[in-house]
Amino acid sequence: MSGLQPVLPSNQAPSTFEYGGDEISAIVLDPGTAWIRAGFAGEDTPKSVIPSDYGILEEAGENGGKKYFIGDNDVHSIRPGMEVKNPMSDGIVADWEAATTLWREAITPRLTAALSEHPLLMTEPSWNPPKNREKTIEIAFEDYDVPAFYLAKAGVCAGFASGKSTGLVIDVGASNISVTPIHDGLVLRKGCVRSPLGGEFLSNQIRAYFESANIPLSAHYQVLSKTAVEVGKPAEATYRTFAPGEEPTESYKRFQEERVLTEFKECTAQVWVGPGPLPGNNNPPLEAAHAILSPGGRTFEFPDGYNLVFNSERFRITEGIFHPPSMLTAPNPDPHTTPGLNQLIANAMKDIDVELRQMILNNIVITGAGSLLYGFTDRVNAEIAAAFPAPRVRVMAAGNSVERRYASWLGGSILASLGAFHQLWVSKKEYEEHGPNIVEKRCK
Amino acid sequence: MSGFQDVRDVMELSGPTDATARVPIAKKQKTVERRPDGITRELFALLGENPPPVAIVESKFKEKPRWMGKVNPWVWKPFENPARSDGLVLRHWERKSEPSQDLEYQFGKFNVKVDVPAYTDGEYEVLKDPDWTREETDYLFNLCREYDLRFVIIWDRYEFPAGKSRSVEDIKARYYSICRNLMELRTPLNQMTPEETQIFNLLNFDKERETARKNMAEVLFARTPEQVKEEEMLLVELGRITKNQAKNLEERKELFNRLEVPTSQGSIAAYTGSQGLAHLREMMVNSNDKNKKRKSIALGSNNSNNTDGPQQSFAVATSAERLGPGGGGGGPSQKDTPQPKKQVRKLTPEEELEFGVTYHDKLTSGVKFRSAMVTATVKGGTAQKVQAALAQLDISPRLAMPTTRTVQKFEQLQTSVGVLLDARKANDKIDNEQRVLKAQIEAAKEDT
Repeated sequence: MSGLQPVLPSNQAPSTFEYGGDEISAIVLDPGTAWIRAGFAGEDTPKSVIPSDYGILEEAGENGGKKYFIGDNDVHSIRPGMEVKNPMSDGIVADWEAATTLWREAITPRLTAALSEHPLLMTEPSWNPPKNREKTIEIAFEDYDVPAFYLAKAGVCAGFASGKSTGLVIDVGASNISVTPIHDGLVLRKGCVRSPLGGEFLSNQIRAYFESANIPLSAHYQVLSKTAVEVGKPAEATYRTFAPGEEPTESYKRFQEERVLTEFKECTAQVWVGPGPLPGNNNPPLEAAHAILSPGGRTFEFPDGYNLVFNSERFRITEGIFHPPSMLTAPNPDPHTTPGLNQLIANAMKDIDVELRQMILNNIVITGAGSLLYGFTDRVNAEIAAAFPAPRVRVMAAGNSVERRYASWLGGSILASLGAFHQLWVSKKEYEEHGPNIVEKRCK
Repeated sequence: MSGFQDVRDVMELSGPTDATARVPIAKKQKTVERRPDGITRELFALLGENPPPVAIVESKFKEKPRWMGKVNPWVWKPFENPARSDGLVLRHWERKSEPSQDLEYQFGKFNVKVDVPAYTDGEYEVLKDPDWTREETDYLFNLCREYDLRFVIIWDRYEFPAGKSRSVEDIKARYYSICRNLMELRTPLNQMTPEETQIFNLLNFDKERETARKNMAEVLFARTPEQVKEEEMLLVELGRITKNQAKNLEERKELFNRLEVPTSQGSIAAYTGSQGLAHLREMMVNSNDKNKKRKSIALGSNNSNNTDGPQQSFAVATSAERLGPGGGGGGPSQKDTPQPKKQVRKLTPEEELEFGVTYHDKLTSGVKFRSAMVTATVKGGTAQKVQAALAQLDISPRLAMPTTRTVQKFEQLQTSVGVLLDARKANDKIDNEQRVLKAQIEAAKEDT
């Protein structure tokens, strides 16, 4: 149809009905455990992405109050005594004061200073309790003074970003892996399941492996200069020294180490092809698997120049996501009661009407930065195809890493720019009439 | 050109004069002169009258785009959504030249609601169900309104305090039965318009059937990989069978067509005249002949299926054999005469001998000489010795007249000769051993 129509001249606007859009310059805010994404509705990428981790110095601000250090530039600088904290816990807000500050900071410097002029759409995980939802709308209207507000489910938004209003959204976040079945743009609550096997879990797996193999983990801030060394040879680097009392805090060190672990996840970790658990996992010799896995290992260089070739360990650290009994020693979660991703999908499908299952399995969407692990989507595809042989299974994962990481923001951006959506906003007037409880009635 | 003029002179034609003839030449030369830039004159001359083989593009700047009009301004304009009751004013960019826009918000029309019927207290008395309380029914209808009759969602969000767990079918059955009863209550069945009757019939929800269907869907969903594979295989097989069935039916139909006497369906008007009658007679004779032929073929094929078929062919073969290789010509004539259908009769050995009937265990196809069928009864080294012995006796290894009996005798002869030769060999061996032993005994005696 569109091919038949003549190309519009650049000074003529396309009919809004062609895409159903009506942009009212709403702001979309997608707060996650690792990153907070904010941008204008109708755009394809968030303009402002800041880490959810923030630095805090007690009694350093004006009148001896707290001082926050927010954003990539501030939180990574070395400050003696600065603690690095995260306001989220299990994907939902635990520290409201910090969250309020962080969210405002995500919007104001780069998008707009006048929050009262832009409607705000926020995303929330499907397991967000009503109390938290009410607190969120309270912050939006009381603190930010927005003219209108809406709280959308992150899973539904991620589905919209892939053009699906019905499907199964597998979101691999920092704190959780969540599986959310959606139908007609509504979450099927009975099928929502999650497991604490996200990015943080993977980091802990890598840490546990490094400890067991006596591999020293260094962070970038500790190293002043380094020289190239042979594989496996001790590092020859000059380290930064701190005067007594000037050392960065333990939480800062851990936060900086986390960046190295993220790098390790991105370029070294890999997921076993499956289906079925990694062979030879429970017996110590991995030689059988070794032969199948990969002919050559991958080298990883630590910030201090120490470098190693990793072979089958690359697969072992990720296997816990799919097969929790084979996770490396970590205090929590419990390997025997935590459901792996396969189990999660099976659990989600169990509580869905049988008529929907077929359609939902045909529209599986994988999102979240954790799903960018090498071989992750292939493994999910293989596992689902093995678990559900009868229906047609189709797994979709955006090839573009930006779209994969910001899928729920993108879906929110699409939603808030639709003309037909504007009747759903909760206005300030409605909030004042009904109180924060209105969020339960309006944002289903 | 002069040649052209000569022809004109010879034919005494008053054509165009030289002056007029030259005009086109001059024109042509003019066009040749026009050569585009960027190509040398020598090269252009080589091209002759043909257009240049490559497009020559002059390098110049892109033309300035010609705008269709002046720039249209946009304004940041407040608007109200008629779908909202709170009068929220949002702002969006709008074309300044479209004044009619603000009258009605264009997306307001998407605010549609499903019509869920409401009942009064009096009406509820009729709609009572022992399984459902009034409160739960109200709760269900509120959910139906809230979620626009998306029953899967309603079931998913169904949390009636202290209520029993309901399946999607329970919810649907309750909702539709209320709708149906309410409709009947308000307009009796006989007063309904056809459209209303249609809707009334559509509201009939068969819970048992739906539950059974769901169960079947569940079973279908839970198939194992083996079952899926088997099903696929069966489907392929079914496709093959149905395809073949069509082919078989086609073949059978064709066969029936051949067997049936063609019945005339045309009018008899063509056969009313004397000529027409003659034509008809000819046709009938022809068709009779054809039928006869068909019948004989059919009979022949029947015969070949009978048990006396092979016997008959054997008889032919043996008769041919009796006549010798040269007298084989008698065979085909015998075959052509139609064999009267007769009872199968067992032949006595004498008769078999008389008629030359023989039975074979195994016959390979094709024609061959009986002499070639002489089986070598003796094998290995003895075979050569037997040949030599026969040659000594002036018996040719190839029989001049290899009838069944001579071949049989010949084989017997070969076997006997072979046995005899073997016996002689054994005899010689024993003789030798005897002699050796005797010599040893002699030697032993001498020693002692």
